[in-house]
Amino acid sequence: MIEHVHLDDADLLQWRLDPAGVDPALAALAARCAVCSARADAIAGDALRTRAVWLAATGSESARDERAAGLAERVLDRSTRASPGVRGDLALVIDFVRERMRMSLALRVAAASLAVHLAAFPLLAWYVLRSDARRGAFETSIEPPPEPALPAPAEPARVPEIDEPEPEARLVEDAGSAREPDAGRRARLSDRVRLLRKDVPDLTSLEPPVERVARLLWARSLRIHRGKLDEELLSRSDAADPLANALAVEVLLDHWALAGERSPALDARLGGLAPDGADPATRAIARAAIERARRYDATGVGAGRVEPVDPLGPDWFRALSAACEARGAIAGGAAVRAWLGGE
Amino acid sequence: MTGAWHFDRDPLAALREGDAETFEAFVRSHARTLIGFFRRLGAGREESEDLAQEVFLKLYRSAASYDPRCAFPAFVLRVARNAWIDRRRRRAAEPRARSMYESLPGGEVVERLGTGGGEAERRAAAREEGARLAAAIGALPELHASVFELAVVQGLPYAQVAEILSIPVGTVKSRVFHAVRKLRAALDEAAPRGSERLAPGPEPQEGAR
Repeated sequence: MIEHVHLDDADLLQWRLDPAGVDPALAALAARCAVCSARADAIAGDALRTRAVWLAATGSESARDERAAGLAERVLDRSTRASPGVRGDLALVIDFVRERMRMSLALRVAAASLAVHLAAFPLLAWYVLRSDARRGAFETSIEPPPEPALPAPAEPARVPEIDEPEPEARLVEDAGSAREPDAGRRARLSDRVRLLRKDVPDLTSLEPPVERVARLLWARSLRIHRGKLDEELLSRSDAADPLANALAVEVLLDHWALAGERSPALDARLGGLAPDGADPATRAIARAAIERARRYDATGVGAGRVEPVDPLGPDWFRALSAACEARGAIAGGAAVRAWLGGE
Repeated sequence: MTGAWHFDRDPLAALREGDAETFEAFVRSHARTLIGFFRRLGAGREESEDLAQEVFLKLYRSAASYDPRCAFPAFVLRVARNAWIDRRRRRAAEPRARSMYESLPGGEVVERLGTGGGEAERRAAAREEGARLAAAIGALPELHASVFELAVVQGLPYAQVAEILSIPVGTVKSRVFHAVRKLRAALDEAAPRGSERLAPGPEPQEGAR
């Protein structure tokens, strides 16, 4: 006969909780033992009592069906019912972000703030860039291209005739009449850009006639490239000569446009400009100088229709060439060519 | 104790074969089970739902590599326990029992345990009993709490608990007993009168059969 040894409490508990896991022979012996059976019942009762209290306290057996059903639907939406395009890593990221956003008010506020900033950034960038464009240094470059002030001198007959030059008195009368306040400054700024350009047109085939014209042109060149007005060279030009006077005005206007300083000599030279009585080509040069002085708002020059003149434009040089030809051949052509060629 | 983990067909094996309906039925029928599982381990209500969702999605994504030869309930509970351990590590600074009990629905305890005569007294007793038990479970080592949850609350066979936790069956046996004894003691402190105390018996040897 086998002597029965009472099972320990852990075995007895297993006997009650997991009977299939206990050795059948031991289970049979314990079943026949009143002590083991009673103790097993007591221990199992403790376990069941503890379980019942715990389930009740955590509410796990209470009906949370709505929340559980909602969870199940969310899971299915992201698994079997999710479209293949959003499965995988992207779905993981989206799920993570969505859950964290759902759980944290601070995160939702931060995300909203970020969204606002991201939306505002392009608008801010557009505003800033637009403002920069308005105060660009090359504002004058967007002005309409200048109309030629002088006709092309391909044929002498095409040199513009100034049959009815405006009387000086009328020009002086018009001085100070209404013009846009910034128009003169803008015109000088525009010409400054043109004067600083290096792309002087190739006009070396022209034959300028007079040496003092060449001197004036040379002074103009110095003025342009060195930024200083050569008063000595300027003083050599003959104020009584209409062409020399007109070129002196051009030099002084160059100086005004480039250095931003108006020379006192300008008014005197402007007063000496007399388009009348000269040959047509010289009158065209004088006329161009007057129109340019008008654009600059020079005192003593009447307002009226303003003809834009490019100080280094081909039309101006052609007119100059025609004026020189009208005076006959000269010895100063080489200097002019040197100036035009930048030597 | 519970038939929650009995399946006519393995949901993940079915999913591998293109049968999504079985898996969907499993999700619908076990959402509450998993939520309760995490609640009892110490997670808050929102956290429990979050963890349950995480487990279901992990199961879904692991279908392709799932080995149908392993027991599905053990597989699910292993994934769930690993998710819980990962979550605990992330919030290691938080005391488990406190956070769990703070989120316990006191009203539910009252509804569960507070019906019948002597309503106010029953409510107070139930509230105190639940609090003490929650504190006692929170004070258990994590493995003891898991063993109690799986073997006693879920009613899984010891062998399956051992598989889930990767420990010997003998260790499961001894830890189930220790957990029950400690928790029973906590309940006795809550309601000392009228309860039969568990008389001390022979100490089981850990890992012994």
